[in-house]
Amino acid sequence: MIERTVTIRNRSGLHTRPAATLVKTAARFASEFYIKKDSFEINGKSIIGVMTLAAEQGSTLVLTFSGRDETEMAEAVVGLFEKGFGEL
Amino acid sequence: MSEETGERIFNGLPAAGGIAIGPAFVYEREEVFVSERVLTPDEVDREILLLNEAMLRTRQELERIVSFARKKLDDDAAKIFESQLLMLEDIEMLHSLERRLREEKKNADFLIYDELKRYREMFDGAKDIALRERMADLDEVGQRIMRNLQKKRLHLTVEGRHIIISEQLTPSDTLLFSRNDVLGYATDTGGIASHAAILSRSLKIPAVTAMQGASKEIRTGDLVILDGQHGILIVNPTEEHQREYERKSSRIESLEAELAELVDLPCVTTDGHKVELSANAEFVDELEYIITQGSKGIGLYRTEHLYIAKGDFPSEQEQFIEYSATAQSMYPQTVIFRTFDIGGDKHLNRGIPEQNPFLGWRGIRMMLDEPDLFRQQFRAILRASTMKNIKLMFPMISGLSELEEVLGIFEEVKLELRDKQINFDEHMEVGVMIEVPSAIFVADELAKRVDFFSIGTNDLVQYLMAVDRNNELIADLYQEFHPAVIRALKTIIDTGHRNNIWVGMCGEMAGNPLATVLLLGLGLDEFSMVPSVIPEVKKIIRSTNYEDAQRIAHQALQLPTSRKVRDFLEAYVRERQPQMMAALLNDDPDGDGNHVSALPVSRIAADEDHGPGDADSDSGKKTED
Repeated sequence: MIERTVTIRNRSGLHTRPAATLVKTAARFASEFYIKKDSFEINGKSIIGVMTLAAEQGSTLVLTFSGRDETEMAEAVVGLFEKGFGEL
Repeated sequence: MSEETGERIFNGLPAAGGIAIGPAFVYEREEVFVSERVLTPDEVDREILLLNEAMLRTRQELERIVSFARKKLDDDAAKIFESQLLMLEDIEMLHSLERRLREEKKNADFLIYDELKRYREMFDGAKDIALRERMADLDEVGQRIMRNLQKKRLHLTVEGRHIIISEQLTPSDTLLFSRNDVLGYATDTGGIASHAAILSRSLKIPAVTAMQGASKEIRTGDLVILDGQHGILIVNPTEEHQREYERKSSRIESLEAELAELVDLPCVTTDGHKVELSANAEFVDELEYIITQGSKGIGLYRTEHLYIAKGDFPSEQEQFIEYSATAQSMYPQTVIFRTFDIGGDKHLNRGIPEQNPFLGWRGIRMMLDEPDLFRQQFRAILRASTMKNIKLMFPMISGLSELEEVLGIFEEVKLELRDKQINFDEHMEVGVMIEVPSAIFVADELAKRVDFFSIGTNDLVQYLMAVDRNNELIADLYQEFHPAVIRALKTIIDTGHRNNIWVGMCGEMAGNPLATVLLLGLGLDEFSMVPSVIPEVKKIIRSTNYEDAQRIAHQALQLPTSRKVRDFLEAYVRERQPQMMAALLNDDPDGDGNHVSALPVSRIAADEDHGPGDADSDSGKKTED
């Protein structure tokens, strides 16, 4: 299992577009992917779950990946956060 | 007049610009009803099959909508439907549905209904509009699946050119109706930032929202006029109104193209005098729209909406996130945050009944009694100021001692941040709102301690005239062109300039095109208004000579009554800005000087602290003073 901590950099947080990008990217991989914010954890492959996080700019999220392609998946997903979902 | 013809006027929010005139089509969304059933074991498998079929059908529908949306809308608007498709495919929801179906053995449409309820509870507390909009999207997806399970069809067709009136329109209603010859949309619920409003703008179909029950009062076939720029709906209009809006509509078309070109041009008079036009705002979601209107920043950001949305004071961190997001999205333009102005019409005092809340515990008075809340807000604003594009102002200041007390707390907070080595803008400009009449008479003292004044005309006029404008018996005494008001404005502006500080205005008057030349001539430096009127005001300023404006202001100051001031300004605008006047006011070619028309113009802004429907302003009322 891989665990990564990321901060949301783009200003409008995980709103409609970034949430969709995140879920679509995650769907390309077989591994399980969970996102934890404060004490709340959701499935990172679920758009509704990501919506309920209501993650705003500046929030810190803990991402966990587990499965056979977890390394590639972690790289792809963390990359999205680092690039601010192309909104920086 | 209105009794004879049955004309009714509804005020809402301007969701998408333009004017539409035509018959109403009242659309009643067919509700999906579900009942709870317990299935026999044999039925469970069959139900799963039916659910899968309904899912497939829903998916096909959504895919068609997405491809239609991609053709018809800009990228961002089309994304709304793409995300609906993702919601449909949401693995968590699918798993949860199938699991519950097997375990609880209940009918699928009931389970979907129940799942939606669960999510709705989760989103209900959300203060974020965007989040509530996503719940609306999810709801729409759920309704679509339930409808398909029940094998029902939606009918979104209408013959001929109509204005669609509905309690509510979902994003796909808005998109799919546009396949017909739809002239406009008017809904009871919704906001400027709702997905349906975004779609109307993207489709360029005029729309008015937040009409508060209008759909119940209108019948299919009624003639309606929809003014999407000012948020007005007129049902069974008088012939006069019809003619007026037909004229406006044709003129607006040519004017619109012209106004669009103004967006990037500076706001400067023909002889080179420059002023700032900025927008009044309260939600991060509005910012994108504000920018497209050519605003130079935000002249009034009402922070109390955070309180109202949450029902309690937001934490420092919540405030910090909101303020920095706002500052960043407006950068390099500036944002003027007004500290919490709670009380008065916002009914949010802590359960202590007040006989006269407008003269009561509100604005700075309340904040000074709650210094910890004040410190929290100051810290959040200062921390958000690192990009140096934030200014701060205080509401309801009545005199120097209050201002000194506020500034004292502000300085203490700065000191505390410096101690903790937290960065902030050391040179942040601070200002006071001039809205309590006493402040006018001590403006000289106030000006020496701040960087700017911002005139809040809505309250200033109320307090100056002793008129509660929400009281219909006397609302016609609320007159922003009263000589006392414009002379007060002159005193405030002159006092500011004498002390080398700039003077802005963030009340409704700043966005009233009839007042533009007067305010310009009085020397106002910044006009802050609802974003939708910025292009009009800019056009007037760009075609005015500053010296002329000064002369107009000088002459207006000599006039003895509100009516005379109004007539004088109307005559000037009619002569100098015939095209603008024709589109905005009722420029009657026969020149019989009819005034009914002025109504929509000053209703432009259900703004500055008054919700839609209560901003009953003076114009259009022929009261002699």
